[in-house]
Amino acid sequence: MAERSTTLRSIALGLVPAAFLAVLLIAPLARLLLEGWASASTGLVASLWQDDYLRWRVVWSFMQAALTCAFALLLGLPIAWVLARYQFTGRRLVLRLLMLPFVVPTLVAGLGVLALWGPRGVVSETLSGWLGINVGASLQDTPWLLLYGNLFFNLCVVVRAGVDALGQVSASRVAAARTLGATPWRAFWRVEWPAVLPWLASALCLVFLYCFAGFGLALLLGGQRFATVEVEIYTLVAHELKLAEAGVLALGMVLLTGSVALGYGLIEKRLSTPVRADVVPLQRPGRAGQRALLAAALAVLFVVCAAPLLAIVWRAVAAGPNAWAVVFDGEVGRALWNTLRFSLAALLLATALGLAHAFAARRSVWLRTAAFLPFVVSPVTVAFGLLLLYPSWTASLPLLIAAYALLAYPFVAKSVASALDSLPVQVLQAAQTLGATPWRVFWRVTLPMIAPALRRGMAFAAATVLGEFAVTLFLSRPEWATLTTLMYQRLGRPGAANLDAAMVLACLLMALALLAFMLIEASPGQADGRDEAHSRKALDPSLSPSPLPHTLPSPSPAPSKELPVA
Amino acid sequence: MLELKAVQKTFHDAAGGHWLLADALNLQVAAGETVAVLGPSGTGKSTLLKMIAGLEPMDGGSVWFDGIDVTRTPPERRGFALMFQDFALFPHLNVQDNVAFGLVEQRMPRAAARQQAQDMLARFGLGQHATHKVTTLSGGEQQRVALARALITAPRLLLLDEPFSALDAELRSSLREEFRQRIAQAGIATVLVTHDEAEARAMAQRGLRLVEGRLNVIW
Repeated sequence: MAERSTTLRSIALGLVPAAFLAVLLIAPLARLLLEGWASASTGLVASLWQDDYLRWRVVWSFMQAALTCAFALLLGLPIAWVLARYQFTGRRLVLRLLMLPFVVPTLVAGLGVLALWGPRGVVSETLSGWLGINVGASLQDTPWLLLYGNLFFNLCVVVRAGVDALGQVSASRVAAARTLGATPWRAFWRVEWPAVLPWLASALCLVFLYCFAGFGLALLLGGQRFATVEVEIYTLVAHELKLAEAGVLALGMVLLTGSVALGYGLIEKRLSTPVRADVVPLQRPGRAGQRALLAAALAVLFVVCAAPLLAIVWRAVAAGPNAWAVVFDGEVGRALWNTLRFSLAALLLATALGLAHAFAARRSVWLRTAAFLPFVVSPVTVAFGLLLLYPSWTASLPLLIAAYALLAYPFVAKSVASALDSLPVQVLQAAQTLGATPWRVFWRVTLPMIAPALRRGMAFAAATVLGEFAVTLFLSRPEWATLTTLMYQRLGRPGAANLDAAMVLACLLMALALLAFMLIEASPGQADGRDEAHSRKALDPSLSPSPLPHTLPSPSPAPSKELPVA
Repeated sequence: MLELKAVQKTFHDAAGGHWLLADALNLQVAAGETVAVLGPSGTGKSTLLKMIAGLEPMDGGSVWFDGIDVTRTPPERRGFALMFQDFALFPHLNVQDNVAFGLVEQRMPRAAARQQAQDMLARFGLGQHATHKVTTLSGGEQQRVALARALITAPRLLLLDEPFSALDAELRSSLREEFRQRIAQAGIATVLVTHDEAEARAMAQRGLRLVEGRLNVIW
């Protein structure tokens, strides 16, 4: 009886997010695929492929994603090794700061790259002052700016995955290899590398997906020559109104990202749950070579992940009080107000959906998998599909908010779902035998125990919504301009004053995202005494606040723990 | 008095296999009596306790207490306390709030529940730990907290699932004696599940072995 009613309840609970996904993601996607298919069957594919310009777009989209993977692996693995094996002051801080790029809005990151390396960027101005050459100008219309921007986000993905994976390597196995005559390098190659390989492979799949389906960075940094398919789809839809061509491109994108995501899923499924029996102890870098390695790792991290953000701040401060006056502009005030209220509404919706999804997904592998769909389908594709399917709803505020929530709620769902998986069933049963009704068990035990995960998911959801750009560009109306769209507008206008204003707006947006993140993530009641637990968490992928879909659905959602098969 | 009448339970594993866990199983435990159920791990002793507690559905049969059929009563209304093998303390609550949990569920005001929990903890020699986090306690202390939490609501029946298996040998024998005395003081019917016959003999008046879904009398 009880069993059946819980099942019914979770089905009812699951209907809400399922309906939401069907209306806002699956139906538009199907409509888009139909559009693409109809156009493709008329022979449009062949004619598009013969178009040199479009072919280059597709090939380059693929190349830039692959190149980013290669660079992220080459730079990220040594850095991860250093962070996982060396003890040094500030190590925990560095591990935490690795989360920072996930909170930074895409457009801010792009602007950061420009503030550092652009024609009027910090590096260019410094170098031209010293050497008389303008590095920034020569970097224009090269692929490097886009690759740099990609690395800003994705180096941290690989480093985090690497640190987590290296934390799983058993110390006794490494020690065994050493006593069997392996040098540290050979021990790494023959024992540690095979152990971390699947983790890195799954991280690289994500990196590829992010870069391949990315929009904001490519729009800002790609220029004429090195923009990606996503940018092309946007241009075709918004500026040239060539929906058929855009449909074919989007169809191709969905098929490609879908198969990469499938590969990712297959790898993830094989990753075992982390056990940390004997962790390789941290060592203090003593010899000069070790210290140089540590310094180099931190320097690369700084240059790739921190410098662009600092460059924005630097430029904004250097712009002087005149540029900051923009903050008191009526336009900016309205954009700030829009950003805040849209984000709050979307965050509330995303939280409700995420909670419902996570609870319902305990019983349904299908629903679990469905939570990853919004991660796989690019925002441009979602927005394009929505435009096609609901032409009369475009420029409706509820649709915009719902689209935001669609992009944000998987963070909540994923975080809460993994917390629910690790919730020991005995603790809930203990509460029941002590007289708590199911609702009281939820209120007094389940909710407090998943609260940290819920807050973490909400923090990432908030950061996502605050910095959302692609969907806003498609579905918004001029009077709904948010900080991101305003920033983009300012960048499009000529003149140094507009660039300075964009820098100031980027500072504002970054501060807002950070503030929201810290407000939600830092829990007032537990600020003490959880540092120790946190340091362990920092290395534990099952507990770490990773925003990535780190674990795919496991087919058996936490069976009851007893009864080992005789 | 607890009575199990013709309890039936088949366990299905993920691989498609199944075996009989309880086959027309009967059991009676009188008030104030401690009965031990023995058997190697994997025979379903824990599941038996969970069926008595109402946490696990039965395939057939019924559970009676003091002449009333409680088979369809949800676990929170049975008044049976189950002490879990790994203690199952609430990590988000401190020691006294863990112990007071059941009292709060009985609608006792929080302050009064805390006071009573503190008194209970003092009697268990844990008074100084009342406001500590449960994760800071040693294994033996956690075990005492679990027993205090189970006994504070004055349950009608106490179910102990391998209560000492998580502890080291020395602590086990001293706690065993302490628990025996406390349970005798409380004077409630107790079912003890264990794989350790010495432990069962030290604590229980009767010993039964779970074999192929039935309970055979050992002593």
